[in-house]
Amino acid sequence: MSNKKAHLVFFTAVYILLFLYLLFISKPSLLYFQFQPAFYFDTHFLSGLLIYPGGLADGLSLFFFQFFYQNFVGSLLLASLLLGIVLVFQAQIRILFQEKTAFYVTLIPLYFLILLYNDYNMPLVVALKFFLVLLAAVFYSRSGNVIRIALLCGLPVLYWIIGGWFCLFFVIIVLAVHLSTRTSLISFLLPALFFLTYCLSAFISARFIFQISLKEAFLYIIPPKFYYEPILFKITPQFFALFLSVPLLLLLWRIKINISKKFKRSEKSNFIFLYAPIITNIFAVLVLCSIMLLSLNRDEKRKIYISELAATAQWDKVLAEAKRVSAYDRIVEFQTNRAMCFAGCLLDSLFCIEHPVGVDGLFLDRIIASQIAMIASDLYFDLAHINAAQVMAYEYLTKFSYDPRAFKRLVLTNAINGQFSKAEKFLNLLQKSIVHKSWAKQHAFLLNEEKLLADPAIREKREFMAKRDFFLHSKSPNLDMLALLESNNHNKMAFEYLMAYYLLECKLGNVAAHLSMFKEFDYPSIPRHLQEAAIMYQSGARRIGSELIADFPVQVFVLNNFRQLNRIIAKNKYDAQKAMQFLKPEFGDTFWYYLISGGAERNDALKQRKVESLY
Amino acid sequence: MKIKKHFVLVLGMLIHLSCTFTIPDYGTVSQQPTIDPDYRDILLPPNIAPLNFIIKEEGEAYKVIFSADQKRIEVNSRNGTIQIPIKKWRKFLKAASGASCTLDIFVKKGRNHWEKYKTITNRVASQPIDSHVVFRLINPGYVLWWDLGIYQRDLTTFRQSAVLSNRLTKQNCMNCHAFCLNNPNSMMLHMRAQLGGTMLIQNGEIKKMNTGTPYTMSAGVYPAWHPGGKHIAFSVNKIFQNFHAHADKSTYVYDTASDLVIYDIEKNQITTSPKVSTKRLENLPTWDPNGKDLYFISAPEFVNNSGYDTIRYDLMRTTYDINTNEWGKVRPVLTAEATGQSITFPKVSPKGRFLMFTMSEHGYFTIYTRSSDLWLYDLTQNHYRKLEVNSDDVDSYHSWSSDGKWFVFASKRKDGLCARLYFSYLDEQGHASKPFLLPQKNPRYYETYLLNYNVPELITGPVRAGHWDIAQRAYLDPTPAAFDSTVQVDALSGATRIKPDESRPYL
Repeated sequence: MSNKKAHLVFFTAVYILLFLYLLFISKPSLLYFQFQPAFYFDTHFLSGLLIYPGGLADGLSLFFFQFFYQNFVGSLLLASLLLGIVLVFQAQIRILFQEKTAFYVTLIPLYFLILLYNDYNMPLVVALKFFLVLLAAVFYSRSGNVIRIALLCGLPVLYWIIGGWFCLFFVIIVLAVHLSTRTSLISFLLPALFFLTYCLSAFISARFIFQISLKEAFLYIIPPKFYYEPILFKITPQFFALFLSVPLLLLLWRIKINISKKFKRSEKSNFIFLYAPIITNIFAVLVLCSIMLLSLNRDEKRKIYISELAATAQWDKVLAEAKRVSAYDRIVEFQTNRAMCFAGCLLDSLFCIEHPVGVDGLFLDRIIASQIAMIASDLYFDLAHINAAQVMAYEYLTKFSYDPRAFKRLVLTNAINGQFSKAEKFLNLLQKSIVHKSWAKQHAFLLNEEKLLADPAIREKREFMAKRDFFLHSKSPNLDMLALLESNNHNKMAFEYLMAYYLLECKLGNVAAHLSMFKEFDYPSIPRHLQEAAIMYQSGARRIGSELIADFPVQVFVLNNFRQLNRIIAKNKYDAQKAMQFLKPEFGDTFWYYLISGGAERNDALKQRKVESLY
Repeated sequence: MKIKKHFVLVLGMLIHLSCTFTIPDYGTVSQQPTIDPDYRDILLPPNIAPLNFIIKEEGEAYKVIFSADQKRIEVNSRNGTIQIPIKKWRKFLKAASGASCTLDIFVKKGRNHWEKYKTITNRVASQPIDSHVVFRLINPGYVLWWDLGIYQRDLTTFRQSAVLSNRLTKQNCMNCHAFCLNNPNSMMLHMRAQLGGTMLIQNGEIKKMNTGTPYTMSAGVYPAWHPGGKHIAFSVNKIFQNFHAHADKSTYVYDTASDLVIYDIEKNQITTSPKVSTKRLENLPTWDPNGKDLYFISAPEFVNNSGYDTIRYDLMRTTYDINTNEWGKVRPVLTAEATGQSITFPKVSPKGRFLMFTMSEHGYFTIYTRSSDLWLYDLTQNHYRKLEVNSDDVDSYHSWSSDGKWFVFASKRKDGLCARLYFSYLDEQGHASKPFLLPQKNPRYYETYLLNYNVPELITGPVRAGHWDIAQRAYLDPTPAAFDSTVQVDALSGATRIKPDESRPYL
């Protein structure tokens, strides 16, 4: 096979592999969901990208990233970009060493990129800037000294486009290029001048041009908001390895060539040397496959998938996927609670899942932070707690400006509130996005009161929303639920969340006080956990002589279960802690077990967190 | 060479003709056209940037002729966006200064069919407005913040720049920027959360102070520079925020306690008095230009939130002698009982004749209260009245120009969501002209702009202190202010007597 054909076969195989992996396993649409990238043809949005070094590349990446909402397109684009990186690096090696067979070496940066993207916390822009830097380095390597000096003069422009970190990366590659070709005075002089220009560009930017800190000027990678939850971008050893791999490989390749020159032998006659490139290339692809499959952060992927399913109201799937998450996650618990509510089993199955943070898994915003604000807004919108949903969406926008989900929510809440000029503002913005334009067109009817009322979902929100004014109680959401029920006593979700709150807080008296409200709703039978709480309350109330719950039929099996529970506790000499191990298999999914095993004390863990992002 | 010359000449003529084409025949419309922003029947300063606008009338082409005293500008547009060349505009305003100017708007409705709308007549004042306005730009969120900054806009052009952005200062919060007598060289602003402190910028010198003491409930909050430039009156507050559940209301900001203090910049000392540190809620001080009278607002002691909508502030006056550190009697100027509303943001005009304030149903933080309107108190005649500039939506925080002829205020009238800046002229009788929106190069600027213009302050020139220098100083520890040892009460609301043996770490 000729070298050209081998090239084609190898890179086509890598591309297909990447594409299939992304399409069926990694799923770029999840990356989209995690980052919610949006690009607007809007003056303010675009000018916002020009006010810091690195913004232009950020904008360019956002433009491509927005299409990742379609898994197929996202896979196609990301696979192309990753292959582009491999090809450009291949070109670099060819230019520097006239080496045409070293395919496997070109895959090494790709390994690190796959490792990083498999954590779902790195935006597209990192790969894009990496690609741009490699492209600039190839151009540099091909050029003569005159063009190189022109490139040196143009470095501030490159700095402005890609930002500090990637500009430094470019300077390091320039050094590696010179060191790997020949070591002369110019090998050090030009890179030194590039480094000096980089430092000057960064310093002048921070001092005179942009309002950025020195750290941001020198080492900007991606927008700071991505360093916080829910993204939690971290500079890991793999991240450093990605950037060091390129210059190191160039230098190592030079050493390898020097060694092979010294020990030159007849390669054609040697079987191993004849097939070595094929074997190493196959090995390199196998390593790629292994990295793809072994490094995938399946839990993170599932968590994002659950949030995506919740956003599209696929509640049964949320419940199924939640069972497969190995480590506890508050957002997963929150979405599971929502899913149980929509599936009509919240008060029957609430304690089928763990509640390590108690009621803070039911309502997220008792401790407010922008990163949970949008999801908190989702719940409030479900509950028809329109102003709370709106407040949370605004809070979310503070850090995640131009997030299309927040804009859509604000269109809806403002329209439901009858504030059409505010809704129009957000619709105008959505119309400036290629991806969200159609949503904006479909929802233009929201600006018309008559048409708006024709929509049953909106009409329902209007019926259920607060009629009487009160202050929002994010720390005591039960009060909000009560107020919503006062406005409309058919708001079943508000009732279920109210009861779930009391159950998780182990406030039996409150459960008892509001139990009669269940009659307003079409329950086929009284929810199991309410029965459990009611029995517990009755037995306690009898002892202390409190008022009993009247007219509350308890099913026989629940009553029998309670007797059995008491028997086990009695058998363990009323030592609840001792009885726990015997109770868990039989009663682990009951309110009783939750109460005995610590009850409402568990949300203390969350209160003790030191950093906002540790949720 | 000759051919080239002719070509240039012909091309020039063609361009000239295309720019100044005349409309031979047209119909007339008896109404004025709708334009956005509404720059009709306004009084404008002779140094304002071009008032670009959009003609909101259906048409295929548009032509606007600005005329004033022999001067004429013609602007043509295909889509109704009218952007006036700045050089021509300046000459035009110069010619029209102190007189009227007209806008004739022609709209092409069909093939060769033009319609001329009723002429718009504006007036150009002879008094210029201060050249710059400083404001904070902040997202419309309520509790959290991320990117924000203090910005300045040159009103004579479209240039806007950041005085300080919090990208430089660890994304902290910054607020309450204030100037002494509209002087850009005497500025202060607070930094909150990270790098907290009060930045004082005076004639190029930048200081960072901590105005909080063990005897004040907070660091200084709402400031008012003394005309002498050596003292700042502050309120100290315990501020809280609630959100309404009902569709018509959004946010409610309130204090559970507040007192007044005065900060002596030279002595780096905080002082107060039992007269302004009572159980009542003393707040938002403002100096009379005479440097003696201190106006502020005051409400009864906070009990709980159940009657939040009954908390109403009175307008009060006291005197303070900066030389002797003596306070005068506190007297009511205008009570909530008399007005039936709550008074807030009092600001005395530079000549001391008028006091402009905001009134709303309740509370003092009116930027979220739709009932908030601007009022004017004539201090010479003890008479107050509602200004003509108000709208159905929020009309709130205002500031005077250095000569007291112009004022700027924040209003949410445009979309109900974001505060925008409006300017108006106040005549000798205290009548305000129809307000006009801060002009932008692109008249569609506000359509998708999501940031709020917050606390506008007019100043006579640009703030020259560099962002780098301010940020460098911001990273240093603040200098703690001392509490006046001659004052025997604290400003922890209620003027508790300070025990003689109590340690005073900052003395």
